[in-house]
Amino acid sequence: MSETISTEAFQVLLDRAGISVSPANMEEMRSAYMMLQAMRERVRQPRGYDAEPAHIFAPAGR
Amino acid sequence: MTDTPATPIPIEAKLAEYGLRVGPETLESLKGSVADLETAARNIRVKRSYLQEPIHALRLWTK
Amino acid sequence: MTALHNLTIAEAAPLLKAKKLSPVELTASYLSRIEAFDGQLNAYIRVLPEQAMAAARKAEGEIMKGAYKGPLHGVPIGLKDIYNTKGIPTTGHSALYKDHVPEADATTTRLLAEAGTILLGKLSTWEFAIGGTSFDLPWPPAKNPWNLAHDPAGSSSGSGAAIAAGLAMGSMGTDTGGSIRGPAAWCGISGLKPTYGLVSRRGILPLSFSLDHGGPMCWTSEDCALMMEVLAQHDPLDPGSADVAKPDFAGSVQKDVKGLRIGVVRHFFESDAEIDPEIKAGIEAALVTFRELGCEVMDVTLSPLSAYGDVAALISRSEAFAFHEETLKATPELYGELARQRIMMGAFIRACDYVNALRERGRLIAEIATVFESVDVLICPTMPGVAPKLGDLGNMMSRSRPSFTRVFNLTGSPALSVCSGFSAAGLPLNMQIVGRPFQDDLVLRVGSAFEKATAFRDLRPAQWAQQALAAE
Repeated sequence: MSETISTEAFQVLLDRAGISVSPANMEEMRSAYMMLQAMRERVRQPRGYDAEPAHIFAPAGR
Repeated sequence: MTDTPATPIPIEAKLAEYGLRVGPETLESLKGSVADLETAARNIRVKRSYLQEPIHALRLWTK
Repeated sequence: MTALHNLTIAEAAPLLKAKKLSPVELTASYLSRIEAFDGQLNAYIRVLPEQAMAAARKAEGEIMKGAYKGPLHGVPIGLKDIYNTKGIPTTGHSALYKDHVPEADATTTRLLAEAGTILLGKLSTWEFAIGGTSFDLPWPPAKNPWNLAHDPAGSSSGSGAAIAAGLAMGSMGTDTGGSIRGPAAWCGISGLKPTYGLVSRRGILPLSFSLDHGGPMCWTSEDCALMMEVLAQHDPLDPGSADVAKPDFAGSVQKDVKGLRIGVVRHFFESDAEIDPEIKAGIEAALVTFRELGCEVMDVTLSPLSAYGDVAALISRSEAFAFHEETLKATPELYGELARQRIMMGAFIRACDYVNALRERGRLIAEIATVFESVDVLICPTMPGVAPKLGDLGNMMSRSRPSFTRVFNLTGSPALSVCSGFSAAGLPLNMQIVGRPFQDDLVLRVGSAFEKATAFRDLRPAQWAQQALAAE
């Protein structure tokens, strides 16, 4: 994953998500996107199959 | 749907973004699967009350 | 006699029970203070004078007949305006929900009403509990009672400001990443984020289903305990609600803390993040107090602060976007700039990253449980500094902000913010006390013991005290 994203590429992502950002806020959003990408890269670590999600499905009564 | 981009993003571009590689023989069937998934996502994208919560919950207690 | 607005719930309750204090007189006093001062503070979005006076008269009638319900009977409170109130607008401080009138009370709203509280009004919040201090919403942001030029923090901004200013005896906030504890810290009050599942979320406008917590904000931890006596109820309508025995909150805060083991998460504020030296000094002084009270104090190690920040951001943004996606696309102009931008970020998180964040969340919960085998409570700062000037918080979405609070939204742990002194500029310092799941009573006991051992609860915002004095 590249550490930066071009304005054009970020615009594609915005278009795909169906959301619009004003030109004044584009840079802030693009920077925030890159920070988010860095977070997700850090969370992507090797895990055993026993590392289950913290959220569980508990049927009623259990 | 408001979430459909004016110009659909080609599946090849999506695969490249996610770092996935498929051969040409897979691409066609993959397109069909992706379309099915998009339809499924669209079908459940209905107006919901904010009272409708995910059924998976954080559970720190036992009974 | 202490001025009515300076009484704590614990002080007022026996007077109300003994019919020495009238709920009508008490409520009228609060309404008159709101009328006089809230124009400067903006703690309230909506004041409910007629309804409050009617409820006060009803409470008075009940108490006079001997039907006293308990320590909250006749106590005037406020609700953050994301708690549903039947027939009364619940706006989320947003143009999008300006005309949203719920058909039913939130479970917590109902429980508090059944306990005999008097609802003074609905309190201001960051838009949908996420938007930040915004100036482009239908209502202005709340200000900090200790200095009106400063920020009260959020998102439960009005809930914090109203308590510190003496415009409510108790309030309800919500906390997804620190929204009860942050305003409690900057407004110099006590605010509890209970264990996840202990207080119902049913009927509270959601931000992030699995990180949202509702909880009390009061002048003292003892008052928070009295609120929790009413709030901690299993609710089958909340999928996350815990079916557990209610701890003895009121009894716990009367006990001492001798022999308790306190773990200090020192790396959080000494190497993982920078904090204001005055906040650190306040914590070091508090640790001395705890040693004097007979506690054993030791350092402990958790994962770095940033590990929690990553996981919390991925989960909270995903869940918030899932809830807001449709309206964000259809009517983005009805959101303020800050809420719109912050929620939009959820569009860029993929399902696999959300699921992996949930897996990492499991690891972090297991890790903290291990640490709690050797200590009874943890201590670290609530906020890295004191309240900045109103508007100085800005967006800062693209900059890393260390948060000592969202750690415990992820782990679901009970976490309390208390006032640990005052800065040279007269702004409140803060400290966070954290416990094992469902040991909220112990956390409140530690907070209450600290408040009783120090004199910080004797000091009210001077500006307000002087004005109140002039008015009386």
